[in-house]
This record gives sequence, C-alpha cells and structure tokens, in this order.
Amino acid sequence: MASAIILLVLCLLIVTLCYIARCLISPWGICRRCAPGGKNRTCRACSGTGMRPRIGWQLYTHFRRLHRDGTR
Amino acid sequence: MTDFPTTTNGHPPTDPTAPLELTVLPVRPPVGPDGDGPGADVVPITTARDRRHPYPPTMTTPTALTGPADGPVLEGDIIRVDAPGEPERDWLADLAEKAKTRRRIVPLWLRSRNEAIATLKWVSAHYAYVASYQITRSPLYAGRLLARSPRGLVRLVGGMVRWTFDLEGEPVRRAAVEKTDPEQYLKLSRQRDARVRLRVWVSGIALVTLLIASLLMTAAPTAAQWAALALALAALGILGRPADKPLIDRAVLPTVREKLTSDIVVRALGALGIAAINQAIAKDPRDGIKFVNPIHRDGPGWRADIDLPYGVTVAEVMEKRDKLASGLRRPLGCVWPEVVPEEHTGRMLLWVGDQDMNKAKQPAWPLLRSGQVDLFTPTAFATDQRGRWSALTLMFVSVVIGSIPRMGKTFLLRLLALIFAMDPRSALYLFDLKGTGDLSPLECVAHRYRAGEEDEDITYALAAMRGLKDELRRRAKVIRDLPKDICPENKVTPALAGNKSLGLHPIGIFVDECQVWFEHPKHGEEFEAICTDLVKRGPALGMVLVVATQRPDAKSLPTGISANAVIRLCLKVMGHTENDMVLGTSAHKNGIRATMFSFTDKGICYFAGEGDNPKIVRSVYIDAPTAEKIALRARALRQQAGTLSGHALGEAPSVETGPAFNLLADIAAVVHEPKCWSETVVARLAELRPEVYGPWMELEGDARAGQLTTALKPYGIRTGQVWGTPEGGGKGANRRGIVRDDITTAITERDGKKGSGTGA
Repeated sequence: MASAIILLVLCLLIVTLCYIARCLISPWGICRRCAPGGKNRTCRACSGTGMRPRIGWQLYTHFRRLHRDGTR
Repeated sequence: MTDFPTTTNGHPPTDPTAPLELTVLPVRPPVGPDGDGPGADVVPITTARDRRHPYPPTMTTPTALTGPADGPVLEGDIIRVDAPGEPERDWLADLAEKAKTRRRIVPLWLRSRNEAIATLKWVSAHYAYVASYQITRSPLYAGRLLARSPRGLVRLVGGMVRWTFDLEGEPVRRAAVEKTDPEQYLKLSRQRDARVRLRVWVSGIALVTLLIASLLMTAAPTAAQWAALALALAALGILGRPADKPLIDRAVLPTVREKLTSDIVVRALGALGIAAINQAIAKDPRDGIKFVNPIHRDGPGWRADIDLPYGVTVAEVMEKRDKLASGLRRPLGCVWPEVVPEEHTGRMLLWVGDQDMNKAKQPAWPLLRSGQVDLFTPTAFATDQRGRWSALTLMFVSVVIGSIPRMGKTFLLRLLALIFAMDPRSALYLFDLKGTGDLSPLECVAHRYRAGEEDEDITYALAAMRGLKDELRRRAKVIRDLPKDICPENKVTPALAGNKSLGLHPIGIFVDECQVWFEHPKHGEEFEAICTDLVKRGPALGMVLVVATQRPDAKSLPTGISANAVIRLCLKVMGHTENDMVLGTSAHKNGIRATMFSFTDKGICYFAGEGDNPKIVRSVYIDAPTAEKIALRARALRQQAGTLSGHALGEAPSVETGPAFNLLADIAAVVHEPKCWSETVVARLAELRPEVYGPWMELEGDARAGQLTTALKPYGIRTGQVWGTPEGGGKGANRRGIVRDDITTAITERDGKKGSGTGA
C-alpha cells in the first residue's frame, strides 16, 4: 500500500515536472476549438491563429498577475 | 575647513598646484617681493620647490631667498642644519623596523600550552554552566509555553484573518466613505480586492497544507503525535509571549566591562595634570598621544601601547596611577602602567584588567599537587597582573622580604621555603622568630627548626649559624680544591649539588622577623657577621639566606645584608624610606613604589632581582594546611632520596658537641707554651668558658687533672708528667700535663677526617 502511494506520488511529480518543462519550452498549444480540423479564420477562441496558450501557462500568468496586483 | 590655505593681503586663495605659477616661476628668479604674485599663499617651501625644479638646487635654497635681489649668485658652501629632502630610506632597515612591530601570528593565549588550556577550560566551564542552568529550568520553560499557547492561538488566528482580509486598511476606506471621496474609495477598494484575492489563495493553501498534515498525523505513531503537538504548542507559546517577559532567564548577567578605547585613554592621560601631556593634547587632540598598536585584549584585560608626548616619562605617569585610574573610571587594582624595557622611556604599556588584581582568580599553582623542584632552574611562585607565571631561581641569591605586618610576609617566606623544600637535595634551616609557629608545617623537612625568641632559641640558632659559618669555610675550601674540569666556575653546579660525598647541597636559611637576631643585645653582632658573610659569599657556595622583616633599617637589617641581597620582594610598605630600603636606593624616585599597594593587596609585591625591571606580582596563596600537605610531599621526596636529616629525623640539635664547645680548639687557644700542667689548662679553660668548664674548676686539684685526662681520651691524647712552673712564679716541678703538639696534631687529624661531613 505504502509503496503504491509512493509510486503514485513519484509518477505525479514526474508528470508535473514534465508538463512544466513543456510549458516553458513551448507555451503555445493547439486551439482545441478549431485547430484539430485545420485553422478557422473566424475562431473567436484563438482569433483565427489556431494557437492558444497552454492551460498551465495560463494558470501561471493568472497567478503572476494575482501576485503582482496583490502586492502592489 | 581649517586646512584651507590662509590668504594674505586679501588675495583670494588659489590652488597651490595651479599650473600658472609653475610655468612662470622657473623663468623668474625665485626671489622677489613676497605677496605680490597671485601665489602669495603660505605653501611649505620644500614642497613648492620640489614641484618647480628638480635641477637647480642652489637657486632655491633658503639663503638664495634672502640673498641679493639681482641674482642668485652664491659663494661658499651652504651648510644646512637639516639634511634636505626625505631621509634616505633603506628598505632593509625599514623592514627591520617593521619586524619590530610585528603582531603575533599565534595569539598570545595560544602560545603557552598552559594558558591555552586554561582559556579553553574557562570557556568550556562557562558554557557547561550555562547549559546546565538552562536545562534545569526547561520544565519551567515548557510550562510557560503551555500557559501562553492559548493566547498564541488567538493571536495567530486573529492575525491571519486580519491579514487575509486586509482589515488594517478598513479605517481608511471608511474615512474615504465618510469624506464622500468616491475616487479615493474606489482606488482603495480596488487595491484591497487585489490583495484579498491573492491572500485568500495563500491562506487557503496554508490551511489545506495544515489539514493534510494533521490528517497524516492521525496515522503516525503516538510519539510523533505528541512531538507534533508539543511543537505546535511551543510555536503557539512563542507567539503568545507578552512583550515584556522573555521566555528564557539569563544564566549570566551581562558583565559591565567597558571597552578600553583610545578616547578614554587620552581623556585619562589628560586628567593627570602633567603639563607636557596637556599641551600635546591641546595642540593636537588626535595625535598628541600616539598609539603604537591598536588597543587589544591581552589576557583578562586590555592592553594599550602608548607613546607619551616628548619629554614625558612613564615614571611620571606611574607616579599618578591613582589619578589615571580615576580618569579611566576603573578600580585602582585594575590599572597597571608599565615601562617597556627595550624601548624609549616614553613608551608606556598600559594594561587595564577586567578585575582587581587582588580579586582576580589565580591559576592553580603547578606544584600544588605534584612535582618537584630543581633549584637551579626558575620556579613559578607568583603571577603577574595578567595572570602569567613569574618565576624565581632560588639559587645563587639571597632574598630580602619587607613589608608592614599583616600583608603576607610570612606566607611569602613560607612559600619560598616550600619551594626550597621540594628539591630533595636541599637542607632547610628555619627560624621563626615571631614564635607563632608559622613555619611549623615545614618542620618535618627542616634540618634545623626553631620557633620563638627566648634565650634558648637564640642559643640554638646561634649554634646552627656558627655551624653554617664553618660550613661556608669548608665549602669554599672544597670548591677551591676541586679540579677545574668538574668545577669550572668555582661555584656550585647542579652536578656538584647532587654529589652527596662533596656535601655541596643547597642550604636555605629562612629567617622570619630577622630583626630579633640583629637587635639582640648580646649576640646581635655575631649574627650580623655570620649573616653578612652568608649574603656575600653564600650564594656562590649554594647557601641561600632569606630574611623577612618589617622595616629593614640599618638596625633591623644590617646594610651589609640589605645591600647585597639579589632578590627583593616588597609587599606594601608605608613610606618611601622603607620602599628604598627593600627595593634599593632611589627605587621610589624611579616609580617603583610599593607604597601604592592598598591594604587589601595581600601577597601582592614588587619583585626585583630577576629580569630587567622590577615587576608587580601576586604570590601564590598557600595556607597552613596546604603547606603541610606540600611539606609532607617534600618529606616523601626526601625519604626516597635519603636526604632527610637533622630536626626532621628528630635529632637533637648538636649544641653540646657543636662548635660552641670544642675542647681541642679551646685548649689550643689557651695553651701557648709547648708543655703545660693539666690544672693550669683547666684553670684557663674555666676562665675562657665559665659556663662549660666551670664545673671542672670546682673539683679538687687532682680530680681536675683527671677530668681533663678523661675528656681528652676520646681524641687519643694522653696526659703525662711534664715539666712546668706555676703561673704566679715559683719552683718548677714535674706534674700531670699535656704537650701542645699532641693537641694540634689531633686537631689536624680531626679536620682531615671531617672533610666530608656536614658543618653542624
């Protein structure tokens, strides 16, 4: 039981780190609304670029803003 | 801005380094009406000159300035009083100079093993004490924390809430509302919202973490749960601390040990009332008194090396030590100005102790528990102000100890006697003329011991001293006769002292209250003669006389003794006459003053005779029981070495057989004719020493002669019929008598045999 938990936590850690690294290397992901099928000029989610910031990056910027506003 | 160049004649000050001047002056002769040019500033002539021209040195000499105005033509040699320019510097000499002021690589306290160990011991003892103090109080601290933890919890929760919701800005926002200032209010509330948005997150994460931690703790073992609870309570207790009550008590109150700074020293020196110092300080408050080294810690105190102003000697400052102590705001026993022997007389070493010398803890005497002494090497017997050991070589010296009563004179004498006793080769002659038995602990090792000043005590002492006189002569003869390779310098060496057959072992004569002897109406002169002889010749022959007296004037301590004593120990004395009597003429004038000791300075004395300068030392305090223990140890040493003798073995003093009653010598003294009748001899002997030979005289005529015959039998001298005439004149007859040659032969034989024996 204990070893399973440790394994789980370890996996979670590795996955998180990998995701953070991915966000740092390429903050832009594919727009899920339009891009899988090809770019749509009229997509409002990505302004027609077919690229949207990754969720992790958005979270990061959100918290950064939160911190900046809160400590001003 | 006093360093600005002063202006003359109302000219504006100009920069002396201005290039204008420098380009003009070489063309012009340097002579000229002063104050005309723009550069009429007061500039040091040498610096200005150096800047102008390196090559025409004669033009710019001072004589050229006062010379004729038409040109700097000079005749004859110009001789300066001071050599021009900077003094020639030799880098090697500079280095040598620097080497003098080197600071030690290894700090002083680490240089001596004992001192380092003592320091470490002190440090560790201190921290061990602090630790034990706090550990014993840890339950109290735990209780305090527990009592404070509820308040800590309230504070924690309140603080978190206030912080999270930014309640500290609430009054301002309300004020903005009341002032109906919407813009301000909007600004403030926007800021608050931004803050709260962030802080809620932070607090939330903290709470969640805490929750997870507590959930995890439920699964943990009981011990860990208790530990966590204790930790939490401790944290809350620390948070709940009232502002004015610290949790932990102080084990050691902070010592009020004022740091010695240059300002304090200068202030104190300025307050001495020495005109030259005051002038120097007034002229130059910063550099009037120079500090050669930074003031630093040295032992348990501060040390400052000071160059006094020109013309002021250290003795002048030492004279006003009490004023110096007042200026430094320290007790008198802490302030010790000293001369630095190898420096100029204005170099003062000022040592300011943390504690009064008579109160400071003295390190344990190395010889207290174990060890023995080699009298030919220095033995530590006292500490100086800084707690370092001062050593004394109790060989080839004679010692005078002087002070007023009750200052530790006898203790000092006993200490020296103990040191002497701890060399198993030595023989101790102890005479306690105070009669209180202060030296009685040493009775078990003494060769001769007597306490008291009754007639019989004096007789005993006299016999012993006469024996020593003979011993002195014998030793001189022995040393004279020794081959040069064994005794190269005609004095006792350690090897000779250890040689039992020669009998050149160290002899120590310790006399407390010696004035009793010298002031004795009947035998005073004899004592004086013997002691003077011992002081003069004894040291080289291994005989050490140590006398202690109250006021060593010409009567209580003959000048022959006091002037020739090598080592002088002066405890507190009352006047400068006594001071000079013990420490030597003009000692008081030179600033060596035992009068400055206070009445509580027991055992503190000036110690002159070993080393260049008299030092102030505090002798080791050995009370009577300790002295007894040490003496027993010395006795054990002696038993081992087989050198226990005289009184220590319970031997009766040899007064009867001593030199006071030496039949052969007496007969030789009274009989001058080659042959003499026995009854005549007895009559003359009775005249010479009535107390000894008187009883013989009371016998009948025939019995007198018989008495002499029996007395002479042990010496192997027979009486026979000799031709003689009665003393008053009359007919010559053959009667029982002696031949003088027999007597002299016997004396020679006896002396020859006795060559290796001890004196008394």
